[in-house]
Amino acid sequence: MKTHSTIKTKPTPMAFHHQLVEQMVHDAKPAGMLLRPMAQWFLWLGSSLFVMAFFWMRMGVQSNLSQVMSQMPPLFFIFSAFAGAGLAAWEAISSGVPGRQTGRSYRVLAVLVLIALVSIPFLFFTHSGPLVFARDTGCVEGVSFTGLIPWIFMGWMLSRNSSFNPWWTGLWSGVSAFLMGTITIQIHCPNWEMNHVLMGHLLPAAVGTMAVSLLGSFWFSRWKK
Amino acid sequence: MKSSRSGSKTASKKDSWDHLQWESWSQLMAKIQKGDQEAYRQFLNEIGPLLYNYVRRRVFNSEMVSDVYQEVLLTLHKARFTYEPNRPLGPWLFTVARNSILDALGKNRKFAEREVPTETLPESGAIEADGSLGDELYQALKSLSPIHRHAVELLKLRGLSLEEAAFELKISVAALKVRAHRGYEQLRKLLVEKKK
Repeated sequence: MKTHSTIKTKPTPMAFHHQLVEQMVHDAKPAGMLLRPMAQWFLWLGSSLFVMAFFWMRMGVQSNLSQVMSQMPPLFFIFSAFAGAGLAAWEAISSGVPGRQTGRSYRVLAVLVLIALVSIPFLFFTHSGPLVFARDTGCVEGVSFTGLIPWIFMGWMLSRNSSFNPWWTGLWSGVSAFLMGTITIQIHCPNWEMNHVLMGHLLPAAVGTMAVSLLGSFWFSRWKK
Repeated sequence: MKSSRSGSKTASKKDSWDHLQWESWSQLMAKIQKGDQEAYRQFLNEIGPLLYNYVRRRVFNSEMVSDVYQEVLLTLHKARFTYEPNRPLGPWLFTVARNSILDALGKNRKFAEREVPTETLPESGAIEADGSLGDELYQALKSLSPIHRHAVELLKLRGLSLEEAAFELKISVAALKVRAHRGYEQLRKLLVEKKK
């Protein structure tokens, strides 16, 4: 029978734990309190509506807005965009607060609303010719700019949370902010033709969302460093 | 009937104790957010064994457990301000712990540590295949039930004190003594039988 010659010893868990605790306690300063998720959501909504109102005052709204909004498809389009933005904003906020993450059914609902939003132009709006990129880049720039401002505000708010999936948080924050941009421009622009709505109002929102989700993956992971 | 009644009584007592325990931790967290260092020390010392075992159950490479545990505590430290004192602490705590374990292990290698070679005993860093333990003893130790084997390994092979081993197993010192004693008895029997 062989004998045991060496027994490997490691730092014991207790000693290790106490050492770590002392370091953490030493570093414990009063923490800035987290704004409640619902308060963050209302703050985001309020600021986005403010940005929208500001742009509408500067740019004006389409002259026959009340007439357009009396029809179901445009009304439903704007409503879906609002609902999608609100749901996406809650997903972005709650994904940064541990223990507040939404369930699968919530995410399915949000995705369904977004699918409905994209489907409405295909199903109900008039269209002429194939889908081409918008020649008039005014709406593209408008959506990008009016979406970027709410996103910056939202990003600042989200960077104070602690997201474990920054890319995901960035993605949903982008959806919410750029849909607000889409609504802002859709109320301003009188062109409800399918190609224009898809390429000039929704595509920039999608591209902007992708871009900020990449930015978000850096910005929203800074709390870990 | 009587035993089932007393059983449910015991269970409800345990539940209410757990509830009180979580309540008290929740209150400590509220103090921690205001910078109370003593509350922080107490909280970490009380929650430590719970988190350590949470990590140990998910990280099957014993070499990595301490590193991952450290990561979990540091993440908890950084995310402490996101706890809302009016909400239950458990979901917050375990979300932080689970995600920092995943971060630490790397999402691509998520729980790959479950794969333990059959020749190696789970979580038995001290038992080497190089023959540093006697073959017979090694075989006998391998055939012990896991709870007894862990107790023997921690005390006799890794050389932990009773308190340290109890901390790692998240049981009382008395319970550890019982496990270790039964483990020694089983070992003795197995080795005597083999000699015969």
